[in-house]
Amino acid sequence: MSSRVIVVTSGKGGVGKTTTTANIGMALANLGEKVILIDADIGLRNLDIVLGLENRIVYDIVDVVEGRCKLKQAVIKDKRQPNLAILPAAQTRDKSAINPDQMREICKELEEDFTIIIIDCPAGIEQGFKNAIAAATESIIVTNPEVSSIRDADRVIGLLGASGHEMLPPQLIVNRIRPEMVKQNEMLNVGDVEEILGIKLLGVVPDDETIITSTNKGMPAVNLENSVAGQALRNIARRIRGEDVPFLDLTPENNQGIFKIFKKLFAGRK
Amino acid sequence: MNNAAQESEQENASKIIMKGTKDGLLIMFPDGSSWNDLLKQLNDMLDKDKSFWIGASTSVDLGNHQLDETQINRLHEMLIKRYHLLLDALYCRDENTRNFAEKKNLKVGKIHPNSTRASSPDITDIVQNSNAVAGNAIYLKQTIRSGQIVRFDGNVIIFGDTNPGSEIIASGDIIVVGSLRGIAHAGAKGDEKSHIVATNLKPIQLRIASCIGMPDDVQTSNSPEYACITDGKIYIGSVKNKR
Repeated sequence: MSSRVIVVTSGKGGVGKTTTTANIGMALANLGEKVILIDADIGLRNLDIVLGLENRIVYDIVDVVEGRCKLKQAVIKDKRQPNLAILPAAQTRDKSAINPDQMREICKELEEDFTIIIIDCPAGIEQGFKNAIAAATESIIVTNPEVSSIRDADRVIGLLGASGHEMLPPQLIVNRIRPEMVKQNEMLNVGDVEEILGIKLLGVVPDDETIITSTNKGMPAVNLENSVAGQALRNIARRIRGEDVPFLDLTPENNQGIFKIFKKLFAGRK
Repeated sequence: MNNAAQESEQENASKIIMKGTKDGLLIMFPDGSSWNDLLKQLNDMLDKDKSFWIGASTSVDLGNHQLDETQINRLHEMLIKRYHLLLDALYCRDENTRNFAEKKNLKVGKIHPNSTRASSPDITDIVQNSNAVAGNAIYLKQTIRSGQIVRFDGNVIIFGDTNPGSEIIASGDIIVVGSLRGIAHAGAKGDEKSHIVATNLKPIQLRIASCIGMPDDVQTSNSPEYACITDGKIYIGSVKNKR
Protein backbone atom coordinates (compact mmCIF):
# COMPACT_ATOMS: atom_id res chain seq x y z
CA MET A 1 0.00 0.00 0.00
CA SER A 2 1.32 3.42 -0.84
CA SER A 3 1.67 5.94 1.94
CA ARG A 4 -0.24 9.16 2.43
CA VAL A 5 1.54 12.34 1.35
CA ILE A 6 0.12 15.41 3.08
CA VAL A 7 1.27 18.99 2.51
CA VAL A 8 0.76 21.58 5.26
CA THR A 9 0.40 25.00 3.69
CA SER A 10 -1.09 28.46 4.28
CA GLY A 11 0.10 31.06 1.79
CA LYS A 12 0.79 33.58 4.53
CA GLY A 13 3.83 33.22 6.76
CA GLY A 14 3.81 32.98 10.53
CA VAL A 15 0.43 31.30 10.94
CA GLY A 16 1.96 28.18 12.50
CA LYS A 17 2.62 25.73 9.67
CA THR A 18 5.89 24.40 11.06
CA THR A 19 4.63 24.05 14.63
CA THR A 20 1.49 22.34 13.36
CA THR A 21 3.52 19.98 11.17
CA ALA A 22 5.84 19.04 14.03
CA ASN A 23 2.99 18.44 16.45
CA ILE A 24 0.76 16.49 14.11
CA GLY A 25 3.77 14.41 13.08
CA MET A 26 4.65 13.61 16.66
CA ALA A 27 1.03 12.83 17.56
CA LEU A 28 0.63 10.49 14.56
CA ALA A 29 3.89 8.75 15.46
CA ASN A 30 2.64 8.34 19.05
CA LEU A 31 -0.44 6.65 17.59
CA GLY A 32 1.76 4.09 15.87
CA GLU A 33 2.14 5.53 12.37
CA LYS A 34 5.56 5.56 10.73
CA VAL A 35 5.89 9.27 10.00
CA ILE A 36 8.44 11.37 8.14
CA LEU A 37 8.30 15.16 8.05
CA ILE A 38 9.92 16.91 5.09
CA ASP A 39 11.02 20.51 5.56
CA ALA A 40 10.47 22.11 2.16
CA ASP A 41 11.43 25.57 3.40
CA ILE A 42 14.90 25.54 1.86
CA GLY A 43 17.04 28.43 3.06
CA LEU A 44 14.90 29.01 6.16
CA ARG A 45 15.25 25.73 8.01
CA ASN A 46 13.00 25.56 11.08
CA LEU A 47 11.32 22.20 11.48
CA ASP A 48 14.38 20.58 13.04
CA ILE A 49 14.57 23.33 15.68
CA VAL A 50 10.94 22.95 16.69
CA LEU A 51 11.61 19.25 17.20
CA GLY A 52 14.93 19.81 18.96
CA LEU A 53 16.85 17.87 16.32
CA GLU A 54 19.06 20.62 14.94
CA ASN A 55 22.30 19.21 16.30
CA ARG A 56 21.82 15.88 14.54
CA ILE A 57 21.81 17.22 11.01
CA VAL A 58 24.69 16.14 8.80
CA TYR A 59 23.05 16.04 5.37
CA ASP A 60 19.94 17.77 4.08
CA ILE A 61 17.47 17.51 1.21
CA VAL A 62 19.68 19.48 -1.18
CA ASP A 63 22.58 17.11 -0.49
CA VAL A 64 20.28 14.24 -1.48
CA VAL A 65 19.11 15.95 -4.66
CA GLU A 66 22.64 16.85 -5.70
CA GLY A 67 23.94 13.37 -4.99
CA ARG A 68 26.26 14.11 -2.08
CA CYS A 69 24.57 11.50 0.08
CA LYS A 70 21.95 8.75 0.00
CA LEU A 71 18.42 9.64 1.04
CA LYS A 72 18.66 7.34 4.08
CA GLN A 73 21.70 9.24 5.33
CA ALA A 74 19.82 12.53 5.41
CA VAL A 75 16.79 11.14 7.26
CA ILE A 76 17.00 11.87 10.99
CA LYS A 77 15.17 9.77 13.57
CA ASP A 78 13.53 11.59 16.45
CA LYS A 79 15.35 11.14 19.74
CA ARG A 80 12.18 10.38 21.74
CA GLN A 81 9.85 8.71 19.26
CA PRO A 82 11.39 6.07 16.98
CA ASN A 83 8.33 6.19 14.67
CA LEU A 84 9.11 9.79 13.75
CA ALA A 85 11.78 11.03 11.36
CA ILE A 86 12.53 14.25 9.52
CA LEU A 87 14.23 15.17 6.27
CA PRO A 88 15.72 18.60 6.96
CA ALA A 89 15.92 21.52 4.53
CA ALA A 90 19.20 23.16 3.62
CA GLN A 91 19.94 26.37 5.45
CA THR A 92 22.23 27.82 2.81
CA ARG A 93 20.55 27.55 -0.57
CA ASP A 94 17.16 28.75 -1.80
CA LYS A 95 13.96 27.24 -3.19
CA SER A 96 15.38 26.82 -6.69
CA ALA A 97 17.81 24.20 -5.38
CA ILE A 98 15.22 21.48 -5.98
CA ASN A 99 12.38 20.99 -8.44
CA PRO A 100 8.98 19.27 -8.31
CA ASP A 101 10.24 16.13 -10.08
CA GLN A 102 12.98 15.66 -7.51
CA MET A 103 10.45 16.13 -4.73
CA ARG A 104 8.23 13.44 -6.24
CA GLU A 105 11.18 11.10 -6.50
CA ILE A 106 12.17 11.62 -2.87
CA CYS A 107 8.62 10.99 -1.68
CA LYS A 108 8.38 7.84 -3.76
CA GLU A 109 11.52 6.47 -2.18
CA LEU A 110 10.31 7.37 1.32
CA GLU A 111 7.05 5.52 0.77
CA GLU A 112 8.91 2.24 1.33
CA ASP A 113 9.66 3.05 4.96
CA PHE A 114 6.88 5.35 6.10
CA THR A 115 3.08 5.26 6.22
CA ILE A 116 2.59 9.02 6.35
CA ILE A 117 4.75 11.71 4.73
CA ILE A 118 4.04 15.27 5.85
CA ILE A 119 5.56 18.16 3.91
CA ASP A 120 6.04 21.50 5.66
CA CYS A 121 5.45 24.05 2.91
CA PRO A 122 7.21 27.43 2.91
CA ALA A 123 5.16 30.62 2.95
CA GLY A 124 4.35 32.11 -0.44
CA ILE A 125 3.08 30.68 -3.69
CA GLU A 126 6.28 30.53 -5.71
CA GLN A 127 8.80 27.79 -6.45
CA GLY A 128 8.93 26.53 -2.85
CA PHE A 129 5.17 26.09 -2.80
CA LYS A 130 5.23 24.31 -6.15
CA ASN A 131 7.92 21.93 -4.90
CA ALA A 132 6.05 21.24 -1.69
CA ILE A 133 2.73 20.36 -3.31
CA ALA A 134 4.17 18.38 -6.22
CA ALA A 135 4.10 15.00 -4.53
CA ALA A 136 1.16 15.58 -2.19
CA THR A 137 -2.19 13.85 -2.55
CA GLU A 138 -3.72 15.53 0.50
CA SER A 139 -3.44 19.02 1.91
CA ILE A 140 -4.00 20.77 5.21
CA ILE A 141 -4.55 24.53 5.15
CA VAL A 142 -3.49 26.35 8.32
CA THR A 143 -5.03 29.76 8.89
CA ASN A 144 -5.43 32.25 11.72
CA PRO A 145 -8.79 33.86 12.40
CA GLU A 146 -7.86 37.15 10.76
CA VAL A 147 -8.72 38.47 7.33
CA SER A 148 -5.33 38.62 5.61
CA SER A 149 -4.49 35.07 6.61
CA ILE A 150 -7.88 33.85 5.34
CA ARG A 151 -7.41 35.71 2.07
CA ASP A 152 -4.08 34.00 1.47
CA ALA A 153 -5.49 30.63 2.49
CA ASP A 154 -8.26 31.12 -0.06
CA ARG A 155 -5.70 31.88 -2.76
CA VAL A 156 -3.76 28.75 -1.90
CA ILE A 157 -6.90 26.59 -2.01
CA GLY A 158 -7.51 27.95 -5.51
CA LEU A 159 -3.94 27.17 -6.55
CA LEU A 160 -4.15 23.63 -5.15
CA GLY A 161 -7.27 23.08 -7.24
CA ALA A 162 -5.41 24.24 -10.34
CA SER A 163 -2.22 22.30 -9.59
CA GLY A 164 -2.93 19.80 -12.33
CA HIS A 165 -2.55 16.62 -10.31
CA GLU A 166 -5.08 14.56 -8.39
CA MET A 167 -5.52 15.75 -4.82
CA LEU A 168 -8.19 15.17 -2.20
CA PRO A 169 -10.10 18.30 -1.16
CA PRO A 170 -8.05 20.40 1.29
CA GLN A 171 -8.87 20.37 5.00
CA LEU A 172 -8.71 23.30 7.38
CA ILE A 173 -7.01 23.98 10.68
CA VAL A 174 -7.89 27.28 12.35
CA ASN A 175 -4.90 28.10 14.51
CA ARG A 176 -4.50 30.55 17.39
CA ILE A 177 -8.13 31.17 18.16
CA ARG A 178 -8.73 33.17 21.35
CA PRO A 179 -12.03 32.10 22.85
CA GLU A 180 -12.46 35.19 25.06
CA MET A 181 -12.06 37.48 22.07
CA VAL A 182 -14.44 35.43 19.95
CA LYS A 183 -16.99 35.58 22.73
CA GLN A 184 -16.76 39.36 22.86
CA ASN A 185 -17.06 39.53 19.08
CA GLU A 186 -13.57 40.99 18.78
CA MET A 187 -12.29 38.11 16.67
CA LEU A 188 -13.65 36.15 13.74
CA ASN A 189 -15.10 32.87 14.91
CA VAL A 190 -14.54 29.50 13.34
CA GLY A 191 -17.89 29.67 11.56
CA ASP A 192 -16.86 32.91 9.81
CA VAL A 193 -13.64 31.31 8.58
CA GLU A 194 -15.44 28.18 7.41
CA GLU A 195 -18.04 30.22 5.55
CA ILE A 196 -15.47 32.02 3.43
CA LEU A 197 -13.18 29.09 2.72
CA GLY A 198 -15.86 26.45 2.36
CA ILE A 199 -13.65 23.46 3.07
CA LYS A 200 -13.88 20.72 5.70
CA LEU A 201 -12.72 21.69 9.19
CA LEU A 202 -10.07 19.37 10.56
CA GLY A 203 -9.57 21.14 13.86
CA VAL A 204 -9.29 24.32 15.87
CA VAL A 205 -6.20 25.08 17.93
CA PRO A 206 -6.42 27.73 20.66
CA ASP A 207 -3.78 30.37 21.19
CA ASP A 208 -1.81 28.82 24.01
CA GLU A 209 1.38 29.81 25.83
CA THR A 210 2.47 26.21 26.11
CA ILE A 211 3.05 26.23 22.35
CA ILE A 212 5.63 28.99 22.66
CA THR A 213 7.51 27.38 25.53
CA SER A 214 7.41 23.90 24.04
CA THR A 215 8.54 25.19 20.65
CA ASN A 216 11.51 26.96 22.19
CA LYS A 217 12.49 23.81 24.06
CA GLY A 218 12.19 21.64 20.96
CA MET A 219 9.49 19.56 22.61
CA PRO A 220 6.17 19.36 20.70
CA ALA A 221 3.14 20.39 22.76
CA VAL A 222 1.32 17.16 21.94
CA ASN A 223 3.66 15.46 24.40
CA LEU A 224 2.51 17.76 27.21
CA GLU A 225 -0.43 16.28 29.08
CA ASN A 226 -1.86 19.59 30.30
CA SER A 227 -1.63 21.69 27.14
CA VAL A 228 -4.99 22.63 25.57
CA ALA A 229 -3.33 23.27 22.21
CA GLY A 230 -1.58 19.93 22.56
CA GLN A 231 -4.93 18.23 23.12
CA ALA A 232 -6.43 19.97 20.08
CA LEU A 233 -3.48 18.82 17.96
CA ARG A 234 -3.70 15.24 19.26
CA ASN A 235 -7.37 15.24 18.23
CA ILE A 236 -6.41 16.52 14.78
CA ALA A 237 -3.95 13.64 14.40
CA ARG A 238 -6.70 11.16 15.27
CA ARG A 239 -9.04 12.76 12.74
CA ILE A 240 -6.32 12.48 10.08
CA ARG A 241 -6.32 8.74 10.78
CA GLY A 242 -10.06 8.70 10.13
CA GLU A 243 -11.35 8.64 13.71
CA ASP A 244 -14.45 10.64 14.52
CA VAL A 245 -13.31 12.84 17.40
CA PRO A 246 -15.64 15.56 18.74
CA PHE A 247 -14.33 19.12 18.64
CA LEU A 248 -12.94 20.60 21.86
CA ASP A 249 -15.18 23.05 23.62
CA LEU A 250 -13.10 26.19 23.77
CA THR A 251 -15.62 28.56 25.31
CA PRO A 252 -13.91 30.51 28.10
CA GLU A 253 -15.77 28.91 31.05
CA ASN A 254 -14.56 25.49 30.08
CA ASN A 255 -11.07 26.63 29.34
CA GLN A 256 -9.93 26.21 32.95
CA GLY A 257 -11.13 22.66 33.41
CA ILE A 258 -9.66 21.95 29.98
CA PHE A 259 -10.62 18.93 27.91
CA LYS A 260 -13.01 17.60 30.51
CA ILE A 261 -16.14 18.37 28.55
CA PHE A 262 -16.34 17.83 24.82
CA LYS A 263 -19.00 19.64 22.90
CA LYS A 264 -19.51 19.75 19.20
CA LEU A 265 -20.63 23.36 19.03
CA PHE A 266 -18.56 26.47 18.72
CA ALA A 267 -19.78 29.98 19.14
CA GLY A 268 -21.34 30.97 15.87
CA ARG A 269 -21.36 27.56 14.21
CA LYS A 270 -24.71 26.44 12.99
CA MET B 1 -20.50 49.56 -31.48
CA ASN B 2 -23.20 47.94 -33.57
CA ASN B 3 -21.86 49.60 -36.66
CA ALA B 4 -18.42 48.36 -36.00
CA ALA B 5 -19.72 44.84 -35.63
CA GLN B 6 -21.60 44.95 -38.90
CA GLU B 7 -18.67 46.44 -40.71
CA SER B 8 -16.38 43.77 -39.45
CA GLU B 9 -18.57 41.01 -40.76
CA GLN B 10 -18.32 42.46 -44.23
CA GLU B 11 -14.60 42.97 -44.30
CA ASN B 12 -13.55 40.23 -41.96
CA ALA B 13 -10.56 39.22 -44.02
CA SER B 14 -8.65 42.46 -43.43
CA LYS B 15 -9.66 42.86 -39.78
CA ILE B 16 -7.68 42.15 -36.69
CA ILE B 17 -9.29 39.42 -34.63
CA MET B 18 -9.25 39.70 -30.87
CA LYS B 19 -10.50 36.78 -28.89
CA GLY B 20 -10.49 35.43 -25.38
CA THR B 21 -8.78 32.08 -24.89
CA LYS B 22 -8.31 30.20 -21.67
CA ASP B 23 -4.82 31.72 -21.41
CA GLY B 24 -5.99 35.28 -21.97
CA LEU B 25 -6.32 37.59 -24.94
CA LEU B 26 -5.21 36.56 -28.41
CA ILE B 27 -4.68 39.27 -31.03
CA MET B 28 -4.47 37.90 -34.56
CA PHE B 29 -3.29 40.10 -37.43
CA PRO B 30 -4.69 39.36 -40.88
CA ASP B 31 -2.21 38.92 -43.71
CA GLY B 32 -2.13 41.51 -46.43
CA SER B 33 -2.94 44.99 -45.09
CA SER B 34 -0.13 47.43 -44.38
CA TRP B 35 1.37 47.35 -40.92
CA ASN B 36 0.62 50.99 -40.14
CA ASP B 37 -3.07 50.57 -41.04
CA LEU B 38 -3.27 47.50 -38.84
CA LEU B 39 -1.62 49.28 -35.95
CA LYS B 40 -4.15 52.08 -36.20
CA GLN B 41 -6.96 49.56 -36.35
CA LEU B 42 -5.63 47.83 -33.23
CA ASN B 43 -5.47 51.19 -31.45
CA ASP B 44 -9.11 51.88 -32.25
CA MET B 45 -10.22 48.42 -31.12
CA LEU B 46 -8.32 48.58 -27.86
CA ASP B 47 -9.48 52.14 -27.12
CA LYS B 48 -13.02 50.91 -27.28
CA ASP B 49 -12.60 47.98 -24.91
CA LYS B 50 -9.86 49.37 -22.73
CA SER B 51 -11.17 48.47 -19.29
CA PHE B 52 -12.27 45.01 -20.33
CA TRP B 53 -8.79 43.81 -21.17
CA ILE B 54 -6.68 45.63 -18.55
CA GLY B 55 -4.15 43.27 -17.02
CA ALA B 56 -4.99 40.39 -19.36
CA SER B 57 -2.26 37.99 -20.42
CA THR B 58 -1.86 38.60 -24.11
CA SER B 59 -0.50 36.72 -27.09
CA VAL B 60 0.02 38.25 -30.49
CA ASP B 61 -0.10 36.25 -33.71
CA LEU B 62 1.48 38.15 -36.60
CA GLY B 63 0.93 35.52 -39.24
CA ASN B 64 3.08 36.33 -42.28
CA HIS B 65 3.98 39.89 -41.29
CA GLN B 66 7.68 40.67 -40.98
CA LEU B 67 8.60 43.33 -38.46
CA ASP B 68 11.93 44.97 -37.73
CA GLU B 69 13.19 45.63 -34.24
CA THR B 70 11.75 49.16 -34.03
CA GLN B 71 8.30 47.95 -35.03
CA ILE B 72 8.39 45.16 -32.45
CA ASN B 73 9.49 47.60 -29.78
CA ARG B 74 6.71 49.98 -30.74
CA LEU B 75 4.07 47.24 -30.59
CA HIS B 76 5.47 46.02 -27.29
CA GLU B 77 5.40 49.49 -25.78
CA MET B 78 1.94 50.26 -27.06
CA LEU B 79 0.35 47.10 -25.64
CA ILE B 80 2.10 47.31 -22.30
CA LYS B 81 2.32 51.01 -21.55
CA ARG B 82 -0.76 52.36 -23.26
CA TYR B 83 -3.24 49.53 -22.78
CA HIS B 84 -1.72 47.84 -19.70
CA LEU B 85 -1.81 44.36 -21.18
CA LEU B 86 0.60 41.69 -20.00
CA LEU B 87 2.27 40.72 -23.26
CA ASP B 88 3.45 37.10 -22.92
CA ALA B 89 3.97 35.63 -26.31
CA LEU B 90 4.46 36.49 -29.95
CA TYR B 91 3.78 34.17 -32.84
CA CYS B 92 5.12 34.81 -36.29
CA ARG B 93 6.16 32.76 -39.29
CA ASP B 94 9.18 35.00 -39.84
CA GLU B 95 12.28 33.97 -37.93
CA ASN B 96 13.91 37.41 -37.70
CA THR B 97 10.74 38.87 -36.19
CA ARG B 98 10.72 36.08 -33.63
CA ASN B 99 14.33 36.80 -32.73
CA PHE B 100 13.53 40.47 -32.05
CA ALA B 101 10.61 39.39 -29.86
CA GLU B 102 12.83 37.02 -27.92
CA LYS B 103 15.05 39.95 -27.02
CA LYS B 104 11.99 41.44 -25.33
CA ASN B 105 11.70 38.29 -23.21
CA LEU B 106 8.58 37.13 -25.00
CA LYS B 107 7.71 33.51 -25.59
CA VAL B 108 7.82 32.90 -29.32
CA GLY B 109 6.39 30.41 -31.74
CA LYS B 110 5.40 30.04 -35.37
CA ILE B 111 1.65 29.94 -34.87
CA HIS B 112 -0.64 30.25 -31.85
CA PRO B 113 -2.09 26.86 -30.86
CA ASN B 114 -5.61 28.32 -30.78
CA SER B 115 -5.12 30.30 -33.93
CA THR B 116 -7.62 29.30 -36.54
CA ARG B 117 -6.61 31.58 -39.31
CA ALA B 118 -9.87 30.87 -41.05
CA SER B 119 -12.55 33.15 -39.63
CA SER B 120 -14.47 30.57 -37.63
CA PRO B 121 -17.09 32.16 -35.41
CA ASP B 122 -16.08 32.12 -31.77
CA ILE B 123 -18.31 32.75 -28.80
CA THR B 124 -15.71 35.04 -27.22
CA ASP B 125 -14.83 36.84 -30.40
CA ILE B 126 -15.22 40.53 -29.62
CA VAL B 127 -15.46 41.71 -33.16
CA GLN B 128 -18.31 39.43 -34.06
CA ASN B 129 -20.20 39.75 -30.81
CA SER B 130 -19.54 43.24 -29.64
CA ASN B 131 -22.80 43.24 -27.71
CA ALA B 132 -23.75 40.54 -25.25
CA VAL B 133 -26.65 38.64 -26.76
CA ALA B 134 -28.95 35.88 -25.61
CA GLY B 135 -27.08 32.62 -25.53
CA ASN B 136 -23.72 34.26 -24.99
CA ALA B 137 -23.05 33.32 -21.40
CA ILE B 138 -20.72 31.23 -19.35
CA TYR B 139 -21.92 29.12 -16.42
CA LEU B 140 -19.48 28.24 -13.68
CA LYS B 141 -20.40 25.88 -10.87
CA GLN B 142 -17.56 26.51 -8.44
CA THR B 143 -16.12 28.87 -5.85
CA ILE B 144 -14.07 31.70 -7.33
CA ARG B 145 -11.22 32.23 -4.90
CA SER B 146 -8.79 35.03 -4.12
CA GLY B 147 -6.48 35.71 -7.06
CA GLN B 148 -8.75 34.07 -9.61
CA ILE B 149 -10.17 36.18 -12.43
CA VAL B 150 -13.13 35.28 -14.61
CA ARG B 151 -13.11 37.40 -17.74
CA PHE B 152 -15.78 36.73 -20.35
CA ASP B 153 -17.21 38.57 -23.29
CA GLY B 154 -20.86 38.04 -22.48
CA ASN B 155 -22.87 37.22 -19.38
CA VAL B 156 -21.40 35.35 -16.44
CA ILE B 157 -23.42 33.09 -14.18
CA ILE B 158 -21.79 31.59 -11.14
CA PHE B 159 -23.35 28.96 -8.94
CA GLY B 160 -21.05 29.27 -5.93
CA ASP B 161 -19.36 32.03 -3.97
CA THR B 162 -16.93 34.61 -5.28
CA ASN B 163 -14.48 35.31 -2.46
CA PRO B 164 -12.67 38.51 -1.48
CA GLY B 165 -9.70 39.02 -3.78
CA SER B 166 -11.43 37.48 -6.79
CA GLU B 167 -12.58 39.40 -9.85
CA ILE B 168 -15.42 38.79 -12.29
CA ILE B 169 -15.27 40.86 -15.47
CA ALA B 170 -18.04 40.54 -18.04
CA SER B 171 -19.12 42.61 -21.00
CA GLY B 172 -22.71 41.75 -20.05
CA ASP B 173 -24.45 40.88 -16.78
CA ILE B 174 -23.06 39.05 -13.79
CA ILE B 175 -25.27 36.72 -11.80
CA VAL B 176 -24.01 35.01 -8.69
CA VAL B 177 -26.15 32.37 -7.07
CA GLY B 178 -24.24 32.51 -3.81
CA SER B 179 -22.23 35.20 -2.05
CA LEU B 180 -20.54 37.87 -4.12
CA ARG B 181 -17.64 39.00 -1.92
CA GLY B 182 -15.00 40.01 -4.44
CA ILE B 183 -14.96 42.55 -7.23
CA ALA B 184 -17.54 42.38 -10.01
CA HIS B 185 -17.34 44.44 -13.19
CA ALA B 186 -20.39 44.17 -15.44
CA GLY B 187 -20.71 45.93 -18.78
CA ALA B 188 -16.94 46.15 -18.87
CA LYS B 189 -17.02 47.23 -22.51
CA GLY B 190 -19.24 50.19 -21.76
CA ASP B 191 -22.76 48.81 -21.56
CA GLU B 192 -24.39 50.93 -18.84
CA LYS B 193 -27.54 48.80 -18.89
CA SER B 194 -25.69 45.83 -17.41
CA HIS B 195 -26.77 44.37 -14.08
CA ILE B 196 -25.06 42.56 -11.26
CA VAL B 197 -27.28 40.18 -9.31
CA ALA B 198 -26.38 38.07 -6.29
CA THR B 199 -28.25 36.11 -3.67
CA ASN B 200 -25.90 37.63 -1.12
CA LEU B 201 -24.34 40.85 -2.35
CA LYS B 202 -21.33 41.69 -0.14
CA PRO B 203 -18.78 42.92 -2.66
CA ILE B 204 -15.47 44.67 -2.03
CA GLN B 205 -16.27 46.82 -5.03
CA LEU B 206 -18.84 46.91 -7.82
CA ARG B 207 -18.22 48.31 -11.26
CA ILE B 208 -20.69 48.75 -14.06
CA ALA B 209 -19.36 50.19 -17.32
CA SER B 210 -17.15 53.08 -16.10
CA CYS B 211 -19.01 53.54 -12.79
CA ILE B 212 -17.42 52.35 -9.57
CA GLY B 213 -19.21 51.78 -6.29
CA MET B 214 -17.74 50.92 -2.90
CA PRO B 215 -19.80 49.09 -0.27
CA ASP B 216 -19.56 52.20 1.96
CA ASP B 217 -21.58 54.04 -0.65
CA VAL B 218 -24.18 51.35 -0.94
CA GLN B 219 -26.10 49.55 1.76
CA THR B 220 -26.61 45.85 1.16
CA SER B 221 -28.88 43.43 2.98
CA ASN B 222 -28.90 39.66 3.29
CA SER B 223 -31.66 39.10 0.76
CA PRO B 224 -31.03 38.79 -3.00
CA GLU B 225 -30.09 42.12 -4.54
CA TYR B 226 -29.18 43.59 -7.88
CA ALA B 227 -27.02 46.54 -8.88
CA CYS B 228 -27.44 48.80 -11.89
CA ILE B 229 -26.66 52.33 -12.95
CA THR B 230 -29.27 54.94 -12.06
CA ASP B 231 -28.54 58.66 -12.62
CA GLY B 232 -24.90 57.93 -13.27
CA LYS B 233 -24.42 56.10 -9.97
CA ILE B 234 -24.48 52.49 -8.91
CA TYR B 235 -27.80 51.72 -7.29
CA ILE B 236 -28.52 48.62 -5.19
CA GLY B 237 -32.05 47.28 -4.96
CA SER B 238 -33.80 44.25 -3.60
CA VAL B 239 -34.68 41.66 -6.21
CA LYS B 240 -38.04 41.23 -4.47
CA ASN B 241 -39.03 44.83 -5.16
CA LYS B 242 -37.82 44.85 -8.73
CA ARG B 243 -41.30 44.36 -10.16
